[in-house]
Amino acid sequence: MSTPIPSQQEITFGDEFAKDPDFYFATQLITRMQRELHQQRRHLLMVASRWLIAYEYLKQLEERLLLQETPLEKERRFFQATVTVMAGLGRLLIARLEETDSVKLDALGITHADLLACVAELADIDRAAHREITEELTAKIESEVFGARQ
Amino acid sequence: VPDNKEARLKLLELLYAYSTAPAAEKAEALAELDAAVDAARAGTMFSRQDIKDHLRRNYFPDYYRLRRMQERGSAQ
Repeated sequence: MSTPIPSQQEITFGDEFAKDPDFYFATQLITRMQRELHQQRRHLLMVASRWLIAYEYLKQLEERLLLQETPLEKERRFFQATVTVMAGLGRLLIARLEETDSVKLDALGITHADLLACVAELADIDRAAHREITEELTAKIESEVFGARQ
Repeated sequence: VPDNKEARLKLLELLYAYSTAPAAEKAEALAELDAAVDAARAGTMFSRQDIKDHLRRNYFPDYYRLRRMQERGSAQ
């Protein structure tokens, strides 16, 4: 019996989480953004709108799954992977927006600096989750930044 | 060595404000956080990212839950 070949969406997002209710909405938005970011410039405002919706959704998931509860390991890993994808898409969106003056984010009620700060936040979450912070570094920061200076 | 809890709490408060700010207020919240982090790390070898990662990893989840509980309590 042959092994079924996964669809592109299943390849992109790995496993059953592509259909998990918690992640389904964000996954759908990400899939559309991945396609639209490589299309015409006129789609950029729509992509920015989708990115912001997915961002808000991820922030809600962060609070509900990661901060208010203790997540399953696979939930935590999928959340982090989704944050990684969203941070990358955000950087790509910003690069595309900076190539043109014709797309104004005012229509979405935000500034370019706000979008940069949203992308930076996901990049921060991503980096802090994956970075190896040694006990030695932790102790030094505690001592030199938050301890009394000699 | 006395622990400078006030400095850490101040940064956590600003990190919380940045994390919970609506998208349209993110830039201002980030600027305030980064300015405070830069002041805290002045004269040390640590980067801005070092401090933010340290706070986010070691303190932020507990602080976040505490603030949410306080907000729910004050809303009732």
